[in-house]
Amino acid sequence: VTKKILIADDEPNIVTALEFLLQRNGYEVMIARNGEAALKLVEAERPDLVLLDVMMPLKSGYEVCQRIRERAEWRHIRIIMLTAKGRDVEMSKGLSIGADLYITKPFSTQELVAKINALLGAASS
Amino acid sequence: VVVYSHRLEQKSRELEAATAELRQANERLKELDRMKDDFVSMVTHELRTPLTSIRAFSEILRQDPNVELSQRKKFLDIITKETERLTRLINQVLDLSKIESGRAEWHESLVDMKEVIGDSVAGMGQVFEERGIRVELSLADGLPRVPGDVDRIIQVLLNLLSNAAKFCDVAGGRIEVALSQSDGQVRVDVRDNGPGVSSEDQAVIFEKFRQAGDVLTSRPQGTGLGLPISRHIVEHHGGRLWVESEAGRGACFSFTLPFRRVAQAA
Repeated sequence: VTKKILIADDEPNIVTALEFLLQRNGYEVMIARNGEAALKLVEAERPDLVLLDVMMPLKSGYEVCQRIRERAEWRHIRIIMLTAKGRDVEMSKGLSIGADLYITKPFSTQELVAKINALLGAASS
Repeated sequence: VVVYSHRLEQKSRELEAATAELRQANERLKELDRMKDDFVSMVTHELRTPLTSIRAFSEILRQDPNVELSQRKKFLDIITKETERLTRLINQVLDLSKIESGRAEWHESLVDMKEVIGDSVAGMGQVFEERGIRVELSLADGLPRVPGDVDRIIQVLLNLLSNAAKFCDVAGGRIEVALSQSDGQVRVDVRDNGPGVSSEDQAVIFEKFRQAGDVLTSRPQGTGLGLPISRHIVEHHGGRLWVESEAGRGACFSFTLPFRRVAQAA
């Protein structure tokens, strides 16, 4: 079964890059441009993994992450936080609220794909 | 003893006042520190964002030889645009920090405002044409020249004109530029027929990295530093820069420049 990934980011060019990259690697991709849309898509589509930008309109990535972690039936969803705020404080905050990984922008696309593959491979086994 | 106790009381009052002052100064310093932190954090974010696209698309193009030609072109365009965005941001951050720290060099001369407005509008001609924007000028004749840095004044005008162009009505964009004088100052108005600036946004658009606009759709292009820089420049000349607008009814950005410099502002 094709795994579903939700990209939640308000920066159109970054979304374009991630969408292309993930589709090329065989994933089904959905897109949300703000935190509220991201939560709605999680509810409707049950993605296997969410790529979550921290600074988004309406609801921050932190908030979306917390909401996802509150629901037991969403516990299997892997969450990778992506952020352009490169601070250690931010990173520990992201991990403490339940993100699986915290990646700083700019990132290596190869590394990102490898990490996604690893997370989703581990989740299915 | 009475005299002594009286003195003691007075000393204690003085001390209290001094403590209160110190406390206030401390609060101000903390606030400044916080603002500096916010600024650094915003700059970091704004620098990393275009870098992310540039790196991602470069790697995609390098690693994937099968990207179709039309897509290849689109990705390269994004890389170019993001590089320009990064360059603009770096220049503006450096410019703003120079102005704020008082290290900017100002080259003062007597400036013919009618002439520089004409030059600035002409310089934006291609942008206006591409977006189908009609520009109307109503510039008073024979005004005295104003003392100021001509390049900096042009920078303000270009910033206001490009903002106006960015937010103009898509169908039938119109910008009016007016030059007038009153109370020993020239006044320039740049009026557009865009969506206007809501009263909440009016307070924040002069702050660094704060932009108006509908966050639900996409953010407007720009660094969010143009207006703060422009305001600094105008205030350096002893003038004022402000906006008047009602949401939905266009915006009018105005600035004044005094004919005579009273005191050197920071």
